[in-house]
Formats: sequence, C-alpha cells, structure tokens
Amino acid sequence: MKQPRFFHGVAAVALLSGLMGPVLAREPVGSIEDVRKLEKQIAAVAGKAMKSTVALIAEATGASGSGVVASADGMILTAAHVIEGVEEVQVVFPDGKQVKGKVLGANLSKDIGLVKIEDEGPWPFMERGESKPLKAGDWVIAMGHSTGFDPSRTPPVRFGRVVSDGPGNFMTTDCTLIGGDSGGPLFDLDGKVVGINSSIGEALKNNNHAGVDGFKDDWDRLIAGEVWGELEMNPMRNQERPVMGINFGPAVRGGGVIVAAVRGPAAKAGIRPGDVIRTLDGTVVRDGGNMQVLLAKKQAGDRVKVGGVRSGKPFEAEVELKQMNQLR
Amino acid sequence: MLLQTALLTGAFAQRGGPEVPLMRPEEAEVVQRQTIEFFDAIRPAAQQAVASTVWVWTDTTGRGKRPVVFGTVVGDGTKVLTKWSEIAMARGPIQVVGGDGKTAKATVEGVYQDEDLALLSLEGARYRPVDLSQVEAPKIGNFLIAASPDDTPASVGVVAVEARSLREKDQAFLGVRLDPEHSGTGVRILGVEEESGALEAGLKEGDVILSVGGRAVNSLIEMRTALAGFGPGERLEIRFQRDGGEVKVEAELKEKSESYPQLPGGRLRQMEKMGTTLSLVRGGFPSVIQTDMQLERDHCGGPVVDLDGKFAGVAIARADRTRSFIIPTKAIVELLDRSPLTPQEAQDALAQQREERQQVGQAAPQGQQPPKQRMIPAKPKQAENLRRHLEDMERLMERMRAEMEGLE
Repeated sequence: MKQPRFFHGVAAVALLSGLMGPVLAREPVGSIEDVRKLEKQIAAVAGKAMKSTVALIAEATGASGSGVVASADGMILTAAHVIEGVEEVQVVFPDGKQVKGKVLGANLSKDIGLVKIEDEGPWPFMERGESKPLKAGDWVIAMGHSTGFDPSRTPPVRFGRVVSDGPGNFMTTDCTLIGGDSGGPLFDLDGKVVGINSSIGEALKNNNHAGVDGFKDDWDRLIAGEVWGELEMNPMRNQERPVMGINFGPAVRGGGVIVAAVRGPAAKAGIRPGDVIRTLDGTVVRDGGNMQVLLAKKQAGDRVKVGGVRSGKPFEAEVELKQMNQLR
Repeated sequence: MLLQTALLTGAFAQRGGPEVPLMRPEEAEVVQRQTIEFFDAIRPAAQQAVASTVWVWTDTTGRGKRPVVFGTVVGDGTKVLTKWSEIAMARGPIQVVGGDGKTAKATVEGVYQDEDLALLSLEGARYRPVDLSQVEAPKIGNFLIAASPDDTPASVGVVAVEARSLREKDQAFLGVRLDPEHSGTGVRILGVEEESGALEAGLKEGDVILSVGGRAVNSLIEMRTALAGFGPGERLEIRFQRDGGEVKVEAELKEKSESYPQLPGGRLRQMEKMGTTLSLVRGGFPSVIQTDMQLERDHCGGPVVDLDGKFAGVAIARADRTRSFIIPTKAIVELLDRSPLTPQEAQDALAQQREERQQVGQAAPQGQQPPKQRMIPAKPKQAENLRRHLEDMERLMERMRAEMEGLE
C-alpha cells in the first residue's frame, strides 16, 4: 500500500484550497433536443470506434488489456502497464480477427505505450485529438474489452464527462472502467482519441486516463522502442510531475510560504531564498503542500504567475514549469 | 501482473479519501451543475413511465417493512413485474406503492426464474401499465432512462452492448481441444471431447480446421468468435485438412460452457464491487441489454425508457462497477406469454439448484469460472442466517485478499 495517508492529506488540501474561478458548464444540455443530438454523436462515435478498439493479450504474462488502432498501417495506442515486460502481444479485433503486434516503446510515468501490427494494413483506425484543452464537463466516450476479450459481446461503450483535468498529463472521468479496459480509448464527441484508460479509484467518478498528448510529446522515443519512467499512482511522486524548482520552508500566517532554496526554472525567473510566495496564478497558497497540489494539476511547459513579497515589497514572476526528473 | 496491480494500487491509495482526489472545487461545481441540468433535460422523457413504476414494500430482514425494490406495472394495471430475488425472502405481506401514494396489496402469482422476475397480482388499486408495443431494441450508444416512482429518474446510461444471452447453456460448444502452439493456417485439434458434435462429425486429433460456418479460423480466439454467433442445436459446416487432403463435414453444436482467458477472479471481483452495491442475482439472464447505468440495487425492477419515453425494458440488475442489465421489451412480451412457475415451485427449484451447485462445487476446478451468482435461499429464516453468514464471509475474504495483495 502506498502512502494512503499522504494522499488523504493532499486531497483534503485540494478541496479547501483556492479561490473559485468562473464556473462555466461546457456544452450545456438544456433540453431533450440537446440530449438527442448528444445521443446521435455517441452512437456515431461508438459505431465507428468499435472496429478499432482491440484487445491486447500478452501470452508471456497472461495480461489482458485493450488498445486503439490510430493509423491505417496499424499503430496501436495503449497503456504502458498493459505491455510492460513483453515483446509481442496478440491483437484481437472485436470480430475475433487475431493478428500479431510488436511492442514498441512505453513511458510508464505517463502510462502510455505503442504496439505495431505486423501484418500490412490498411487497418480501421481512429484519429488522435488533443487532451490538453479538455476540462471538467466535456463529454467523452470510453471503450475497452472489460474483463478481457469476450466473443459473445462487442467492447462495451461508456459515456460520461471529464470530472477533473490533471494531474499532469492525466485526467479523470466518470466513464466507469474495470480490469481489461486498461489501454482502451477515450474519445471526444468528434470521435477523436483524447485519452487512454489507465486506472481506477474506489469512487465511480474516479476513472483515470492518460491524455493522448503524451504520445505527441514522446513520439520519437516510443517509436524507437524505448521503455522508461516509473508507474506511480501517487501523482506527488511521479517523476514527470511539473515543478518550479523551489524547496519550500514554513508557511506564513494569513497565507503564503517561505522559499528555502531555489534552482532550475524558479532561479531563472529570479525567485530567491527568503522570498514569500503568496499566490499561484491568482490563487492564494496556504503552504508548501498546497502549492504542490496546485502544481500537480499543471503540466511541464506551462507558464505560471507567481505573486510574492520580497523585503516587504510585492513582486511578480513568471515561471516555466519543468518535469521533476529534468531539474538540474 | 502489472495490469491489475496498477489498477488496484490506485484503488488502495485512494480508498477512504474523497471521491476524486485533486478535484478542484470549481470542477466539482461544474460537474454537479451539469448532472442537475442533464436530469432536468431527460425528465420529460421518463414522465409517462413514472406512473407505471411502483415501490415494492415488504419485510425481508425481520427489521420491519421497507421499499426493497421497484416494480413495473403490466397487463391491465393490476399486475406488476419485479425482481424475484429481492422479495423471495419476504416474511409476511407485500405491498406496492405508486408515486402518487396509491397503495395496493400484492401476492406473488408466479415466477420467471431465468429472468429473475416475479409477477405480482394487485388488489385494491390499479396503475397505468407500460406500453409493450415497441419491440425494436435500442442500439449501441442510445440513451436509456430507468424510471422511478417519483419525478427524478433512478438512473440514466447508454446501451453499452446490445441484447445478448448470458445463459451458459445458450453458448454453443463444438467439443474440440486446440493446439495453442500450432502456427500457420487453421487451428490444429489436440483432442475431441466425448458426446460432442465434433466427435459425431468424425473430427479427430491432428485434423487442422480451416473454416467454421464459412469463416476462416487461424487462431483459438478466431475459432471461439466464429462459434459465438451460433447456438446449441445449430449445424455448421466444418472444413478441415487431414493427411494432406481437404474434407468438409457438418457438425451439430451442443450445450456447454467454455471458459475464456479472463482476468484472475479475485482481483476482478474486488474491482467489480468498487463504489457499488451489487444485485444478489446479476447473471445468467437469457436476454439482456448491457448499459453503463449506475443503478442502485433497490432501484432495479422498474421500467426503462428511451428518449421518446417508449418502454425499452425492465431494469433487472446492477452487475458490477461498469454494468447494469436491462431485459428488453421483446423478451418481456415473450415472457408474459409463458406460464410462470408457482411461487412454491420456484422456491423448490431454488433449493434443488443450490444442492446441485454444492455438489458441482466440490468437483469443479478452482478459479476457472467466476462463481455462479444465482443463490436465493429457500426458507425465510434460513435465508436471513445464510445471508448474514455470506456477508460476513465476504467481508473476511475481502480483507484477506487485500492483505495478500499487499504482500505481493
């Protein structure tokens, strides 16, 4: 069991933190007509996606997961943990057709991986979309071979919405997942792949997906067959979590935290030891833990605005976040 | 087994905390507002069905009456279909109550065992029956709404898998054991089962099956899928290779279950339950639509409608975290044409089934199939005891499993 208490603490902090941003429900559904439109889109996406949603069976380990074909020549997006430790998988299409797949690379920290069908295509595929713009309230469709390949049924369709973006490249939806769904696709209403099923928590709303943008960022390494990173369910311990490069000291009464040491991007942005940081993108920071939670929701490469006090005078700085494991 | 570890490490780490760690307050607000908006939008579609949905009240625990499950009004308005396993243990009278407060005395007139449905006969009030004229089944991705006796639907979801049978005896069985090592065209027979269609058709070890029912098969899974579309009693053409020549035979499929490579039972059972209370009887139905609805166990038994408000079936079970099952209209229409078992026959059949199960259970290999889920105890008092025992055992097992997984 990994640090359940720590997670608790973090979560409680998350719920208490910060100022409220503007509340905007995305794509509002105000009438039965809106729901009908939604239904049409879901049916269209599910119908098309069915052919490309494959089961991946690793005969070497007995693991069974899912994947989605994302190009005509048979490139399959899946979760890193589905293919970890094997070189070959059996790719099973919903109609039972079975072909061999060569395992390429995987980034365990993002839980993404690639498999290439060995036989020549063209294969039925779904296009990749973008995961970064997704926010709470965006409608999504999840698919996968729940509990393993079952010839008596097609891969089950689940409809829901993003309930939380982040941490990092991950996002959470209320499309309920179970074992076997791992590596299966998450689609937006246009039928673009926006995520890959990764893990679940106890709550029905807690279904986690790796954002599809991770593939774009890591494409060359994945294609080259590199396997790296670490599977880490606790986002605070993920090697690729976004950081500023600040060691935090004690909290300050009334909000804010003292900077103990600085390196990397924070140093580059001019933040110094002894500064008090009061806000992150306008949200008041209570203490170091609170700051880490706020940062966990961002991604490396994001620019954040830091508001602070130095020698009694307010200052502002902009910091470009870096991956923890890239700090120097 | 990294696949399950990953999924469950997450679960353990997050157990007991808030629903979604790291969810921002504004995200929680967006999601909640959207839920309210969505239910407001679909409410008109469920309006008609509200009058055909009743609460079924009875005492199943000895601790007094409570609404144990929903019911669907059928026939002339004095009959109700409800979930049998939820009321089988009723001690004393059964009542139904409509959303408008109208109450009627109910008696169990008959039981449709395979569907886990009881037909209640009402006395003292009449409700609006559902319209059974729409027999076209909803398609994948269509919305389905589970009605409730009050204004707010019990749940909403989409068709995840279209209607299919979950009954083992509906799965066709040819009776060949296949060579997993065989490479190249076709699938090679390692052995032929006794009393099977394959044996009758003259298939034997070493034969390489090339096609089944006109469909080429080149792997074990392709073979299973080729058979999956057929039922017991059907005859299929088998094309195979023997001694360099090609032969065609016709084989009859028989009844038997096959086990497919699935996730190990223990972990899966744990995941199934995460975040949910499951129905007692949740498998083996002859025809069900799978949906992603999050039906509460005590909200089963009521009518399910589509966005036009048309009756699409009866909500029959919450099966796990991801699945709720609906018996489609067509199956309900056919069922109402059949004569049900009497309540006494149903109780006797259950008792017998349980005995057989215990015998089979001793002989069956461990861990191959998930345990059979149809277990309704016969006598009310025994029932209560047995259930309490089972629940205690389950909790204990769960804890042991959790601890064992912690060790891995």
